[in-house]
Amino acid sequence: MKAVSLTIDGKRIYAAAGTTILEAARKNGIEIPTLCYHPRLRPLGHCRLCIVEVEGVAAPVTSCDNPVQEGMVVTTSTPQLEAMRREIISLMLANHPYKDCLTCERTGSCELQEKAYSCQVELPELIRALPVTQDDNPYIVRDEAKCILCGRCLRVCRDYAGCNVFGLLSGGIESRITPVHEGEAAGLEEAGCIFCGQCVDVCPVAALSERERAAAGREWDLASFAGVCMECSLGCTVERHFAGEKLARVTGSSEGEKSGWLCQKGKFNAAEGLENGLVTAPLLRGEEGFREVSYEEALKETGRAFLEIKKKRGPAALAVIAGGRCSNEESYLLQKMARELMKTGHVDLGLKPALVEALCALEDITGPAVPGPSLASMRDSGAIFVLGQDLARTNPVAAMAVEQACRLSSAVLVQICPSGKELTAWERLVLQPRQGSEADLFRALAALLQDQPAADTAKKTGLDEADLSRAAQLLSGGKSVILVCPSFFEKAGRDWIEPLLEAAQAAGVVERGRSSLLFLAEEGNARGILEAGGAPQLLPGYVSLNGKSGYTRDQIMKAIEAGEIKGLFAALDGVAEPLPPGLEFLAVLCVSKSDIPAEANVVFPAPPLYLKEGTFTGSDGRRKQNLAASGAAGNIWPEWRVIAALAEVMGGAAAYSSLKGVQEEIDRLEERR
Amino acid sequence: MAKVLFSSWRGRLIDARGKEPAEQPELTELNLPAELDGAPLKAFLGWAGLVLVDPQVNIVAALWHYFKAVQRESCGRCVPCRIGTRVLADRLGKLVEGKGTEHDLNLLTNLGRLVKESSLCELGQSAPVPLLDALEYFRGDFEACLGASKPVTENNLTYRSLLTAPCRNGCPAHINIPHYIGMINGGFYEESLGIIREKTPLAGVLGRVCVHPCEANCRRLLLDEALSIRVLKRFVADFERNNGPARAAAAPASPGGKKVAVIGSGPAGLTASYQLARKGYRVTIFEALPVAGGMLAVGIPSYRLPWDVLNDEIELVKSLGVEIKLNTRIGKDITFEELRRDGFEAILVATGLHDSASMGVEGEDAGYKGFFPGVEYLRRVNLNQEIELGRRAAVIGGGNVAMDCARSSLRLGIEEVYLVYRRSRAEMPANEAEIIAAEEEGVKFCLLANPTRILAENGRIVGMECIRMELGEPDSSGRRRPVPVKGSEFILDVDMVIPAIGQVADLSFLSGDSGVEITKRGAIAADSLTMATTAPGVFAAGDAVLGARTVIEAVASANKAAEAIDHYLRTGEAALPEHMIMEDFIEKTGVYDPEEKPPLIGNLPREEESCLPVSDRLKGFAEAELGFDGPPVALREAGRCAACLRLGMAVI
Repeated sequence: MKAVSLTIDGKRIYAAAGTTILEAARKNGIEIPTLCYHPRLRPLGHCRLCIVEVEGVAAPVTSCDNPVQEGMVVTTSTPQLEAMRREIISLMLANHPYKDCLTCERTGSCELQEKAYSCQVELPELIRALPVTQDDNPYIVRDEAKCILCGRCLRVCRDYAGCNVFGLLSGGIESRITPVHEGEAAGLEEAGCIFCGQCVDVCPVAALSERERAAAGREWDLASFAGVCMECSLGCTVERHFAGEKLARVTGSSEGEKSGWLCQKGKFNAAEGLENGLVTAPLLRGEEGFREVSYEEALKETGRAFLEIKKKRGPAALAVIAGGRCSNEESYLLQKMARELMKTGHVDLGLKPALVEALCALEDITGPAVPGPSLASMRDSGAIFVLGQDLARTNPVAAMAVEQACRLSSAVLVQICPSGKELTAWERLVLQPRQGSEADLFRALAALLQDQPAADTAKKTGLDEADLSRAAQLLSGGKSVILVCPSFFEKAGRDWIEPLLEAAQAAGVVERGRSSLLFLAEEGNARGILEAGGAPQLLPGYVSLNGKSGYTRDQIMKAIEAGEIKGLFAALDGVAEPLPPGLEFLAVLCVSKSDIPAEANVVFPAPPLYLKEGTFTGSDGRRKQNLAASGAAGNIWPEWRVIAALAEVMGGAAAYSSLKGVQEEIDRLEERR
Repeated sequence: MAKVLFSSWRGRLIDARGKEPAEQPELTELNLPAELDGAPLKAFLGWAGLVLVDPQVNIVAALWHYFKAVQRESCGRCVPCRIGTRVLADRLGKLVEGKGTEHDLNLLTNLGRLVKESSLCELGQSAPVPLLDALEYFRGDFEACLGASKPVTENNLTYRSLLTAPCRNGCPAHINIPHYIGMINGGFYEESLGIIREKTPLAGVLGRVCVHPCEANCRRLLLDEALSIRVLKRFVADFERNNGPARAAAAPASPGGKKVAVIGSGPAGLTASYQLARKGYRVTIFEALPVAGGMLAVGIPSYRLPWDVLNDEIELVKSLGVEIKLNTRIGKDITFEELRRDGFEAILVATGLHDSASMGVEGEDAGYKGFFPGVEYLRRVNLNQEIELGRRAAVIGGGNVAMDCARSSLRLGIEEVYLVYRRSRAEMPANEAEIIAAEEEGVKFCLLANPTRILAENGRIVGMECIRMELGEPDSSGRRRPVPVKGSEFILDVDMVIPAIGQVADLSFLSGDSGVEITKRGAIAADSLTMATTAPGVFAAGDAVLGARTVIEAVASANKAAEAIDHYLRTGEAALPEHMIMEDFIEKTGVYDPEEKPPLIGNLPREEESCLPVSDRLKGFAEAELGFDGPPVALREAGRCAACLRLGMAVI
C-alpha cells in the first residue's frame, strides 16, 4: 500500500493511499466533526460538517469523501469553518422538532443533540410544519419529522441489506428520505423491507427506532450485553440491551467484526412467540394437572423414572432430543447424560443427518477446529458459489454478504440450482443441472479441474460445456468461496456431498488446515452441537461411532410410536413437530407455557434462547459467548444446570459449580484429542 | 438588436445602466439568444451571474422566482442547499411583499455565502452567485423594498427555468448525466439505468458507440480528466443484462391511442417509437431491411456493438407494443397514401442515409470487381452476406465509417488494409479511440493522400492511383483545405477499393405528391425544434434530416419529434413542451466554460475500460472493448463526478 504524506493542522501525517482526509486525521488524533459519516458506510457527504480548507482549493471541501494526496496541506478548524458548521447545525435544527427532546427515545444518545450542544448553537425558529409519519408495520417506528436526511439508512439498506427500500424524493426543504415503492413514498412493508433493522442501528436520531424500544427506558439506563444470535447457524455477533428484565433492543455488533450485519430474526424475532407467558417454575403433572414443585422434587422424580425404565426395559428404551438450539455446553452435557448415565445411544439434538454427513466429511479433509470463511471476507473473493435457493430466508445475513460482494466488489456469483431471480451480481453464472444430477455436476467439475475427461459426466447434467468450464475456472481461481444453503440438502439429497468436496479439494477451496466452504443450516448452533457430540452418529470431537450409531430424531419418533422407546428427555426449543403418544415418561425443558406438551410428566423451565448463557459455534467455526443479562431470567436455572443436576441424580459425578467448570471439562477433552 | 443593460455573466462586468443605447453592448456578445419561445429576453439569471436587458424586470422579484426554482430542483442531500435556499427564497419573498428589513439583507449576504461555500453540488454552490452580484450592484433595488407599503409589481413577466449541467447540455439528448452517475455512486445501478431510459431505450448501444460529446464538456477537464461517462452508461446497461431486467418496461398508462407510422428502425425510429408507445400511442415501424436497427445493425460492426446488445434493446421497444414490419420499403412495398388509408394519423420519416457518397474518381462507376461503397460493404459484412474478398484493400475516408470498414477488413483476413485520407491525422473526424484502435490493429495510414484513378484489368481492380496533398487555407468548417501536390501521383497496390467519405440518402420515395420538401443538401427539410416537415402530419428525424451524424443526435431529434407528434395528435399543432424549448435556449447560451477554475480537488485519474488484446481482436468479430472491469472501477469513476448542476432562468 503506497503511503502518502500530508500536513493536517501543521502536523505531518502519513496515510495509506486511498485513505480519506477524515480517516487520516482521526487516526492521528485530530478530530473533525461529522454527522452523516459512519465507519461502516461509504461516505455520503450530506451533512457538510466535515468541511476543511485545503491549500490551493478556493472553497472548503468535505474531508469524509476526499482521499489524501501527497503534499496536501489541510486546516480543519478556523473561525470561518466553525461559524459555518454552527450555521449548518442551526439550519438543521430549524427543520427538526427539537422541542421533542424531552420525550424522545434518543435523548442522551442523539448525534444531532450532541452536535448542537458541542457548538452551543442558538435554537432557531422552525421554518415549516414538519411531516407526520404513518407507517403501520410491526417492528420499526418512523418519525420523518426528526429525519435529518443524513442518508445513512439509504446507504446501509443498499450496501448491506441488499435492498432498495429507501429513496430520496427531492423537492428542496420538502425532500424526504423515505421508503419508496414504484417511485412513490410508501410504508416499509410496501417498499419491500425485510426488517433487518440495520437502518435503525445506524440512524443518528430518532427518525427510525424499534417499536419494542418505545418508552422502555432511557438510553443510559439500559444494560448492554455482548452476545451471539442463534436464530440460524451463522451466529452473528450482537449486542442486547435490557431495561431490567425486558429485552429493549438488539443491535448489530459495534466492535470486533465491525460488520454490524443483522437480520429480522436476530433484530426483532428473539423475543417473539413468548407473549403467552414463560414457564417460571418446574412443574409436575399429577391427577389435577400440572403443579409447581421445587427443582429438587422435579429432578428426583425425573431421575427415578428414567432409571426405572432403564432397568425394566433396557437403556435403548430411553432417548434424548433437542431442536438444534442448544449451546455447546448443553449439548455436551445432554449427550454425556444420555450416553454415560442413561446408557443410550439415542441422542439427537436436532441436526439433519445430511448436514451431519457433510460436516463430518469436511472435517475429515480439513482436520479439527478449522474455521471457515468469514462473511466479511466475501468482499475479497473472486467467486462465490451458492448452492441451493432461499438463502435470503434461511440465512439472510449470508445473502446480504454475498450480494454486497457481488454488487460492490468484483466477486463473480455462481448460482447452482437457484430459484427465480434471487441475488443480483455484476457477473453471474447460473447452473441448473437436471433434477438428480447435482452429484454429476460436481464430478464433472472435479474432472475438469484435474484435467480428466468430463464430457460424459457433463452430459448427464444437461449443462453447457462452456458454462461448466467457466465454473471450474472460477472455482480454482484462488479466492473462491462455497456456500451451501440448507435448502440444497433438502432438494438434492446427499449423494452430492462427496463429489462436491472432491471438487472443492481439487480447486484448493478446502484442504488440511484451511476451508473456504460453509455448510449453512437453519438450526442455531449446528456446528457447535455436532462438535459437542449432539448427533447420534458421533461422539464429541467428531469421533465416529462406526456403525454403532444411535437413532436419529426421525427414528426416535418412529420408535416411540412403535412402543420401543418409553422414556424421553426433550429440550423443546426448536422442536417443531408434536411428540408421538405412547411414552411412559416425558421430561421437557420448555420456554413458553403454550409449548408445554399435555402428556409431559415433568416440565423444567428454560430461559428464552437469547438469555441462554453459553458458547455457540457459528458455521464459520468461530466460537462466541452469549452472556446472560444477570437477573433477566428471573429465578429459573439455566438449562445446563438442570441437565448436570439430572445427571447427578441419575448417579453421575457432582454437578459443576459453574458453567466454567463445564467449559473446562470440554477444553480438557479437546486437548487430549 | 437586444442590448445589455447590465451583466456579471462569467466574471465579465458590464454596467451600461444610464448609458446611451449606442454604448450598450449587444446581447450576442454574451452568447445569449435574444428570444425565447418567440418572446424577447428581458433578463437572465444563472450560475455565472445575472444579465439585465429590460429595466422593467425587478431584480428582487426575479431572484425570488430564481430561488423558488432552486428549491424545486434542490435534491435534498445537503443541508445548506436544501434548507438554506428555502430561507433565502422566503426572505426574498418577504422583501417582494414589502415586509423586508435591513436584517434580511444581511442574512441574504451571509447565508448566500454559506450556501455557496458549503453545498454538496454546484446547484447550491452557484445559485447564490446572481444573488450576491445583485446585492452588490443592485443594492438600491433591495433597499427600495425595505419598509415599502406595497409589494413589488411584476408587470406580467414569465420566468422559465431549467436545471442543467455542462455535460448534460453537451449531450444532444440532454440525458440527466449527473443524476445517473449519482445513482451509480449510491449503488443504485437499476435506478441509474431507469434515468437513462427516460430519454432512449438504447442505453447499451450508446454505452458502446456514443461519441460522448458530454465528455468534452466535463468540468473535470479543467482539473484532471473528463469522467468516463459513456462507459459508466455501459456499466449500468450491462448490469441489467447480467441479471435480467429489474422489471418489465413500464406499460403505457393509457394504451390504445392513435396510430403512428415510423419509417425506419434505426436509433431515431426506435427512440421515437419507444417514447410514443410509452405515451400510449400504437406505433408500427416499417423497415426496408431484413433486420431492425438501421445503421446500428448494418453500419456498426459487431466488434463494436454486439448483436445481442442491440437486439435486447429492440425487444425492449417491442415489449411496449411497438410492431416492426421488416422487408417493407416505403415507396415500394407501402406508400404514404396507404399509410394514411390504414389509419396512421402521423408519420415519422427516419430513413437515415444508406447510400455512399461518390468520390468523383475515374473508374468509380465502372462496376469493377473489388469496388465496395463503404455503406454497402459494412451492410454485407454485418448481415453475413457474400463478399468476394481481395487480399489488399484501400479504404478512403477519415470518419468512423472508414474506421469500421478498415477494422472489419482486417478481421475478415484481408492482409493489407490502407486508410487513405486527404488531410492529416489531427483533422480526422473519427473518434480518437477508433483511430488508435485502427493503428493498434495494423491499419496502414496513408495520410494527406487522395485517390485520382482506379486501375483495373479485365474488370478487376489491380491498383489505385493517388496524389499527395498538402494543407492550404482553412475552409468553412475551419479545417485547412487539402490541395493536391502537382506531379506527386503514386500507385497503391490494392485489389479492393472501399470509399467511406460520406453517406447520402435515397429520398426517391418522397418525390411526387408527398408534400415533403428536400433541402439543397439532399436532406429532408424539417423544423429544427418540432422536426415537422412541410407536409402536415409528417415529421422527420435522424440522419435523414441532420446529414451524417451520430447516434445520440438521432436520439435527440427523435425525442423532439415524438413530443411534437404527441402535441400534434392532441391539438392539431406541432409544438414542443416548454422545458425542451428552454433546453434549446440553454444550448445556444452554452454551459461549459473553459475559462473557469473549479474550486475542487483535482489529480484524480480517469478509469479506463479494458480491451481485448490486439491479437485476440483480429481473430474475429468478438467485442473488442469490454467495459469497466467491475463495480469497484465504476464506483471509483462515478465518485469523481462533481455534480455540476446549474440553474438558468430566463425572464420574458
